[in-house]
Amino acid sequence: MKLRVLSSAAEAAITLEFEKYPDKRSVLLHALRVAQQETGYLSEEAMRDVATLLELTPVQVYDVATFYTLFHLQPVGKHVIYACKSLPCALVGASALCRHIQNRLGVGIGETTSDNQFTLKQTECLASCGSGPMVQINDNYYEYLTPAKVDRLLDDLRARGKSDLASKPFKIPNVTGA
Amino acid sequence: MAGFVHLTIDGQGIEVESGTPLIEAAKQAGAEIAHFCYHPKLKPDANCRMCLVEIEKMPKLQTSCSTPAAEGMVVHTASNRVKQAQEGVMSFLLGNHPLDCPECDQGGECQLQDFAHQHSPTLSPFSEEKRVFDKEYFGPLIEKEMNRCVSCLRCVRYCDEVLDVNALGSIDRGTMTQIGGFAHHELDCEFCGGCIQICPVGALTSRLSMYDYRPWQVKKTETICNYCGDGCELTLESINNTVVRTSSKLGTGRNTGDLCVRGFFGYGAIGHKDRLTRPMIRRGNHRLQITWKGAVESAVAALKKIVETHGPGSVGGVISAHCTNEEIYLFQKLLRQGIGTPHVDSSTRYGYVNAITGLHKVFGTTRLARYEDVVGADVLLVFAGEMTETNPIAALKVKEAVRKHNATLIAVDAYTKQSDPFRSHLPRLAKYHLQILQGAESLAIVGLTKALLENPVLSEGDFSPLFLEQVTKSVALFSFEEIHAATGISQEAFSQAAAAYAGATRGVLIFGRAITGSEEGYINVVRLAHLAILAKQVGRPGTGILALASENNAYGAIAMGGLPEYLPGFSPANGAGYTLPGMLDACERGEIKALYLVGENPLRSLPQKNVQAALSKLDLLICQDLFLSETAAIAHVVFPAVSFAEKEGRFTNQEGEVQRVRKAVEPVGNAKTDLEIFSMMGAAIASSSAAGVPAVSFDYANSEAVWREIMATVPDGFHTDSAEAVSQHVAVYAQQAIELAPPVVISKRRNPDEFDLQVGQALFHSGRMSTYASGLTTLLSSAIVLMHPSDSDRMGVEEGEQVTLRAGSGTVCLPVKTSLKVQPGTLFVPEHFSLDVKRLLPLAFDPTTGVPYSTRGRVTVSKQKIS
Repeated sequence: MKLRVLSSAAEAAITLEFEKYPDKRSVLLHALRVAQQETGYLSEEAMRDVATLLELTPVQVYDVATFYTLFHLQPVGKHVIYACKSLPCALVGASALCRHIQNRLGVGIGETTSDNQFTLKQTECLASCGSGPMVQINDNYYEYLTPAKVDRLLDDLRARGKSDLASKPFKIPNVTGA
Repeated sequence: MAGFVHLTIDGQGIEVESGTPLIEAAKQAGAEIAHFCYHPKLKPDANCRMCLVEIEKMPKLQTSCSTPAAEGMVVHTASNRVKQAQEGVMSFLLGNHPLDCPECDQGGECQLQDFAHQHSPTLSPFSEEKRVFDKEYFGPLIEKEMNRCVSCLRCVRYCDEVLDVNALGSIDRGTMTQIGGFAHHELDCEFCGGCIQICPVGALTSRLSMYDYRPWQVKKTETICNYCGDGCELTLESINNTVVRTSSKLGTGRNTGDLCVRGFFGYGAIGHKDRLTRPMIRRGNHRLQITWKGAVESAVAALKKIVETHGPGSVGGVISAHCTNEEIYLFQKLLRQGIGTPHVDSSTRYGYVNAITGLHKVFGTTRLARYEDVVGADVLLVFAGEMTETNPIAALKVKEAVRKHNATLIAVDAYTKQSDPFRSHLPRLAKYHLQILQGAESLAIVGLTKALLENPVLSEGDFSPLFLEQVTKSVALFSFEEIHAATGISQEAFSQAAAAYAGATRGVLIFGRAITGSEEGYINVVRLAHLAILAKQVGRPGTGILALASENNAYGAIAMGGLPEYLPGFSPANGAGYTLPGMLDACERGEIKALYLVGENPLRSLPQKNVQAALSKLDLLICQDLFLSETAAIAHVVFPAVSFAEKEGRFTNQEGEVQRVRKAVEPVGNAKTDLEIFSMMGAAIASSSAAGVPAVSFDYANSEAVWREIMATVPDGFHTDSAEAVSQHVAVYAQQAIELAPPVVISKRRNPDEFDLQVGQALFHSGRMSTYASGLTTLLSSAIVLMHPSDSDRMGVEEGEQVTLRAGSGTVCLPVKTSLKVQPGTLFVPEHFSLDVKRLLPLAFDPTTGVPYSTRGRVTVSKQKIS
């Protein structure tokens, strides 16, 4: 079985999961994640490789890949911004904030800046409704955003690759008060 | 077995089988529930929410497609709650639907139209803009108009559950969900047209007939498809004497409404511009158009002279198994009784005759399994890896058995287990796949038989000692090691497969051209019959054997006596008649002076044989055909015949099912049905007393009159033999001496540039006729060579690049298409286009049946030099 773009390490990481599931198709989400980690985005070749490994047709892979905003079907920049567009964030100004990000970066939704630093995506609820408007950038949340905060964090990311505006890891509140 | 439950639907008490979905129960009670995603062929999906019903004691409305009827249920299908809910669903659907009914091909037969009429609210609550999709095409044959889609996913589910192709997905899910292929590419699938047929709206329609008709304007004629032996019921839809579309009604026919690409897109040959429209005779090097009277008189005068000088035995005739039963019956009557010659044959000589004569010898009948047996089998042993291409609808029955009813599939063939994307492939579904080397079928059967003889389950059987002794002897020649070396299959694999087959409650054996049309064909059919007897999978209800036919009336051609072995009704002929290859030899020797070919084109089908030389010695060559074939081009007399769409009669499919063929359109030009032509010829011969045989009547009013004569002559010709009758015949057979030649071992390939070549049928075509159908030539219009990617990589050949196939002094250049299903070291070339590739193959003849074998050979392959 010859693969087009995935390495033998990726193949091993995918096939290793087979025994955990009743059929190979169940490994699809995991396999897509491995493929995206290795190649940066899900190219047609990468999806065909996943189809080959899971004994699916390419469209069965594409079907799932197009549903999730966390899967990229185009090459993305260093920082992927997922801007929440669901109702709670929208009520506190997410639409205007998203427009601000677009103007600031000079890209539309789904596009990548010419310096390959930022890709802007819109997404449904990220489960941070009490702290909107918010965005996720790569693996970090940025909450209670204002245009000024957005400007600062984009500058930080461009300059240093990280920003201290990122939310701290979420801890489950200690309800007993102990 | 399923019991029955009693429930009340809209106040009416009804009894249904338990497990029946409410939507079906309601139909039985006379209430049609509006629906989109429900379809009887598919598992319930309950995604469209249209079929909601109110069930007493259940707080919420339920989808009637996914709720099984239960004892004591009280169901309301038209209460106010239900009405309101359905209007809500309809509002959502119509909120996005473009309502472009006046220009939509589905208009008039659209479920959305019909149900909207009944269920839509007067005013729409929506003022938003409708969603609009970018225009995309599903390739040259399928029109995709996603704005009309109601996202019921019937097409996606049909493509998966029924076809096992999975070419469609619901992509970009969310507000812009659409049906699509991989990465929005055009489809590259089996093009069965099933998605078009199953779409409740006009989202998927045929581009072949776009804007050609309104559904209520077409004349619908229910007939039988004329391509392969599956015998599918087909509705020809015509306007102004032109077939504009084909379809098949859900649940009807042996195909229960499913069609393949040839049935759905292959009707273009019917009214093709190259059809012959007038009789012709040859004068020197010219063909002259002539009246029917002149043509028939000229043919009969020449025939009369030949019979007077050389006797009736100097005349031979071959008819295509695409003709109707009535025509084939009349043809053999014309030759046998009208002229008095025993030399009658049909195109079943290319292989199917092996199946029928072999099975008939062992079982006394050949109708041993029906599609219901295939669907209901718990174990299927299939010697036809290419079945999804040669007999797509019969293959659907296998898929149904395996996918829906968890049958165990044992596949024995020279293909890999892998399929190409968007193609179904039986070996992929097989629990036991015995992937044999090309040409190793005989030894594979021997291996299975040998494994079975060593299996303790056999001791339970009650076999005649003589039969057991003879079969044991016939497989004793080879050890399992030798069989392994020759087939590539281990003893363990044989044992497992044989145990699974013999352990079946209802085992069905299926074989196709890999057996019947390839070396040792006849003897392999007999070997398979023995295997089925030993495994006790024949002669019991639900078990049996199905031989696949590549021609629509192959079974009928044999049952009607269109061959030298049998008179009509399988009664043995005297054996003096020549087979088709025998006739060609007799032409060459000068023994046969006149040949009457109906839909037969030996110049094309046997290019290795010097057919040209044989035919050029004839005093009279009559060709009756739809098109000016290579052979018709050199004929003395050419009669223009009509296609299946222009005539009445009956075809008998590979199960032995006799089905009515009905006339949809008038014949083109002055063409006549074969039946009319035979009647005219017969009458002319009978009236000429000098023919020297007693006058036989050829005066028939129509095909029904011929059928009545057939039924009177051969009342037993079509009866289905009972399981007991088969068992009795087997008991008699088992007491006889059986002579089986030992299987032939195919030599191994020696060099890496040496390949095993198989020439055969491609999915998109059937014989030559399909190459006149524009829908099919759009998909495949010239020969290609399928090669495994490991071979093309090794040779450095790119997809589409030309390679040279060489055998002896012959060479052929073909473009490469890589395919995962052909084994490394083997090549496949479709037979429908180039004659040259067949010239690379050796020609051999079956010692018993004379079947010409010319589909396999060995070639060397080289990358073509760029000159």
